[in-house]
Amino acid sequence: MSDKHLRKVGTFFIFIFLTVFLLGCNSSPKAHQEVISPTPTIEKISTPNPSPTPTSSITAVPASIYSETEIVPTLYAEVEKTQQTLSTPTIEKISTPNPSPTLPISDKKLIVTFIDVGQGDAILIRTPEGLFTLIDGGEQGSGVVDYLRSQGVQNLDLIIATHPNSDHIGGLVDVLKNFPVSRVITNGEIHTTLVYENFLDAITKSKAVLIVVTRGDSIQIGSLTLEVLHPEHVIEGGLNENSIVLRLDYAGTSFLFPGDVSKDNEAEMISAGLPLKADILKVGHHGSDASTSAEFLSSVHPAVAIYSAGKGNSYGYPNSDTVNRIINSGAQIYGTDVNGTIKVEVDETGYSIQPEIKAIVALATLPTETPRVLEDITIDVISLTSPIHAGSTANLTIQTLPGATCSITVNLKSGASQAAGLGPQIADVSGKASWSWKIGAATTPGRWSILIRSVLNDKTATISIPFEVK
Amino acid sequence: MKTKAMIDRFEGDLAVLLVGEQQDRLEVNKSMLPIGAKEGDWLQVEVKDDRVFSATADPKGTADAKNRILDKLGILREGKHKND
Repeated sequence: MSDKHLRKVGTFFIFIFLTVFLLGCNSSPKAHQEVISPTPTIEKISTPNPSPTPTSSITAVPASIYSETEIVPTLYAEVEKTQQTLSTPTIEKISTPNPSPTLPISDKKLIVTFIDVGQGDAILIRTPEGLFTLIDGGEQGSGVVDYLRSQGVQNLDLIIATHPNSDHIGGLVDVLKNFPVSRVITNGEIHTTLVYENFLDAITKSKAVLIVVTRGDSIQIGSLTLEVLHPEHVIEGGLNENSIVLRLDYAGTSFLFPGDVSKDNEAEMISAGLPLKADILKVGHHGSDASTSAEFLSSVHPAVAIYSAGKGNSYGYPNSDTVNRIINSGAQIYGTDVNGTIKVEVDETGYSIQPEIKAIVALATLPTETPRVLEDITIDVISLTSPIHAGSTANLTIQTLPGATCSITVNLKSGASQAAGLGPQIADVSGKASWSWKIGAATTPGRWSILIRSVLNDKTATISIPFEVK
Repeated sequence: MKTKAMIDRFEGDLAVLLVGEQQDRLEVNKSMLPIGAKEGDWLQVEVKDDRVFSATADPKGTADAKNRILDKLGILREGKHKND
């Protein structure tokens, strides 16, 4: 039995218990309070604990994410089904590799790194114990091996190939040839390219255990659990559509990694009632317009969305409509083509985003006309303290439609302001929304701008107004 | 000279081909491909200066690769590679 890696029925009962227990008290607040950060490149965001239970912060079974009791029978069926599949001799008990000795083991941090591999995906997870998991590896020769070495990785507990396209598995061949790997996880779907055959040959040589997963499976990595949300089963017709979709929870912060799945798959996951809500979303399919529907964004409701795409790639990724959907959802967006390698560090106090290059994805793709009105929602500025002296408090009041979700980005010389008080607001019954925030004493004087967005149902308006700091 | 190539994937109107033993990546417009070409299909292509001049279907190449790869995956799934 493979309970070491794939805990099924046992955890199910714990899950039932926790679900029943937590349903009564879990308010699951989403609002993240942004704290003023020392530099604009690092935002520290405190994550509210999803439940007030005094249990360990490492949620082995993220029970609180299953908010609908009626999905329980479905999940139970899935668990039983997988249990049968997994009792085959495919999975053996294997020893967990020792954590890499060069890294501190007790810092209790989870680090998720979106590696800049050009056009492709490669995500490195370092558990609080110092175990490494790699989700996809970019193309062959895209530099993932060098990056792992630079981070002191000596061996990998786990490699996950979300699906067999070369921009996801090519680099995994390099990794398998250069590092000891204990386990390799796939969805079991084959591809008939030589890159895929090289991938299988490299697993054979490495003697890693191959594990095939489907919806309902849990993958244990150290103290953490990766939940498999997709595919329910592999369907012929498109490799992207069968991508493994993973969920990871640690210390109240959650990640969703949807591979390259399409909008149809997203819709199916929503209707299946899966726990999609997550703080940090890996944007599907490199920001292609075929993924990341507005409905999916509304279900995931991410605070941060990170895509991986090559600078100047031939496919036009990320698609500007997708970027705008993400911005309109209220999420902060990062991309490896703009920000380079992006690290997310998670501990008990929340998470921080650390892009290698400080830059803003949003502005590159937003319309520059001022004002720009989309459809029939409007924004009028009622008052703004401008010009304003550095060190004083600025106020902005706008008029839009009642109930609209309004968000602002204050763009200074150093980039988007991270000051407290700039969070999204819901316009009141008269359609007014106001913000009040401190202009840092060290702010560079000049004529800067404020981007204002108002969203109601499917309607969006965006305007940019001048903002002068003296 | 003709070379073997496989269709790795489609991205919009482009097909991404993996060419030869080295699996060099080349992008071509879908319209260059034989009608009905799918992900994973093997082709015989004429390439000059990183440009594809012709592409014809190679169903035998596809079928042989599929059999070979299914065998290899079967061995891995059963864990037989650990016994060697």
